[in-house]
Amino acid sequence: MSIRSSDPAAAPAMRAVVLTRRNLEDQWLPLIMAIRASNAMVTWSSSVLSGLADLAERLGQWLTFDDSTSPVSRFATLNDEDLMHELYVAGHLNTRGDGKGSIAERINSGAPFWSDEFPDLAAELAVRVAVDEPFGLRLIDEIDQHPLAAIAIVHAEFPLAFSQAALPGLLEAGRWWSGVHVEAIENAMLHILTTSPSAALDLLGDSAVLAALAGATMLDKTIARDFVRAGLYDAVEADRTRLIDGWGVVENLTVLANGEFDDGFHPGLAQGVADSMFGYVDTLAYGIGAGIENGAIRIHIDSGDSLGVLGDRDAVANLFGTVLRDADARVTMGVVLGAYTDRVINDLGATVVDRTGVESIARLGLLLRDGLNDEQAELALGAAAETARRQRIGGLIGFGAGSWMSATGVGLVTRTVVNHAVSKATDLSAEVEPDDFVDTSFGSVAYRGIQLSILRFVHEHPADHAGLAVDSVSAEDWAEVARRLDAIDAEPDDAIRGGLIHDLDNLIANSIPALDSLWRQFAGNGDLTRLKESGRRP
Amino acid sequence: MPGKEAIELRRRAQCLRQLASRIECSLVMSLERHARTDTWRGRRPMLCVNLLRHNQAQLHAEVDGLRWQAYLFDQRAARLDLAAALQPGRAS
Repeated sequence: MSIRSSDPAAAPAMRAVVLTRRNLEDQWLPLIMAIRASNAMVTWSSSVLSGLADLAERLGQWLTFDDSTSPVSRFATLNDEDLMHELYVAGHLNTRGDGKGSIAERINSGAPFWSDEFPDLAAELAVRVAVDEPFGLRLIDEIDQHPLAAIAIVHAEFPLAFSQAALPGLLEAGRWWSGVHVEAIENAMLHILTTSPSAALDLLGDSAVLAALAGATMLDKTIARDFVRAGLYDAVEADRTRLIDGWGVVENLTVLANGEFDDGFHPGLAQGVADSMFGYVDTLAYGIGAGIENGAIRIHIDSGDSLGVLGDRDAVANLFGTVLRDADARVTMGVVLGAYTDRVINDLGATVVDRTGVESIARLGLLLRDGLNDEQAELALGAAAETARRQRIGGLIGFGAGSWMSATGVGLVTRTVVNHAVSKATDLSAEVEPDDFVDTSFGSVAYRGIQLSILRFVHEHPADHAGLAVDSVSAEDWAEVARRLDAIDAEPDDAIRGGLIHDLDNLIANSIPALDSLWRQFAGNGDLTRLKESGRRP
Repeated sequence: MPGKEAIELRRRAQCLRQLASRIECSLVMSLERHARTDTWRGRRPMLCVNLLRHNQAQLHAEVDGLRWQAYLFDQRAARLDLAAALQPGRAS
């Protein structure tokens, strides 16, 4: 039965339908296909069918199962001490080094105890945590001894407060060699990030938790990324008063990057920070130029009230250098820079020639470049920024851009656009090599990108032509410029695109003096020129 | 006799109600019955079920919205009919 409607009044409903369909495709189908492809049931059958007697015995056991011995009642009748003992035994004797995989795998594969009794143990723990505060506090206090309690979180209805309180103890215990411990941390993080981004931000605000995440080498990358993104971006988007807390996290990250994590953060943390920069980058870029005091970068929030010093310029550059050590985070930051370029130029409109606003792009570019220490990384960053700039996704900068990254898929269109841009930039970054003939250095690519965005903006806004002193440009010349801009945007090959830009430069310099004059307004001193001339490293 | 605009509004109201019913009757609105812990367990399935519940809640809210909009269309159509009936020369 088709669910369609072209009635404008049905548009919100159709968006919800599309969103649901997308979630089923993204989340449900891959899991169902993985289960279909699994040979767990075949393996089980082949071992069980070793003999008909064996089969008969197992069927007999199953058929004579007595409800009065239900495992639910077994745990429910235990006192607290005995229940904690069961938890301890299950956590230590059934899982230590027996090589049978994670708890989730044991449950899914139908392993004894894990598939039949553990869900009931989890349910009983959840009930007691909810109704018996001293029991809950004791469990949290001893969580490093009972990581299984945190694994139980996703198998029963635990209160959010339990996960919030348990996670710091689990992280700080530092038992990364224990698979059960890591699984417990991941389950607590999943519970928090899917239930309350605000709680995720609270936890990121704890410097000990942040440091533990930064060094959590065994932690699942996707969960860490989603957790950081939920806290740093989603929580602030839902409640803008939490921006100050978000900046507090960035400030703590700056300290960590300039201390023990100089060699890099956990990839998931780096990627989550890069994802979140869509929200923070405009304030950051403004802060680089607007509030320098003794070389320190001062960050301002929208109201103009100062929040204090994020760190001196070198320290903040080092923060981004630490984040950009991860290849995926590097591509995302490139996309952020490209989107920011598009946003600034469109926001500036006819005042684009004042250059002050445009220079904020250059300052951001220079800050990112200064954090990097290898040419390949610079090239990848530049390629990602240029790819994203051409996608014209400046609308995603700032908070309230539509929760493009939200797990629940709110703002589906924007999320799709960003994923597309990241995907294209990732493909290109993998191919980027220094070119001997065309200057593909980060500074040159970023500078050219700014120029092309300005030219595109001016072409598309004829009402501003008089104010920009380009009203003498003929319609034929504009048509030719537009044709060449389209060709540049459509050209995937860096070297050929460089040649097309060179040809456009020549056309403007030789035949369109008004545009040449606009072009030259960006030459001279300033950060824009520094960006252009930063060129290749020796 | 109802005017063209009133007829069009009633047609749209009917379409919106049909859409609401189709959404309510769709398989996705009862999918969670097939996804309890006796079907699958684990972190990923739980995330899937949570997302599904979120989507179902959104769809229920949109279905309510569709029916409310249909009601408003019908109201507007009735007002148009009344206004037309009260115009001089139109009353029988």
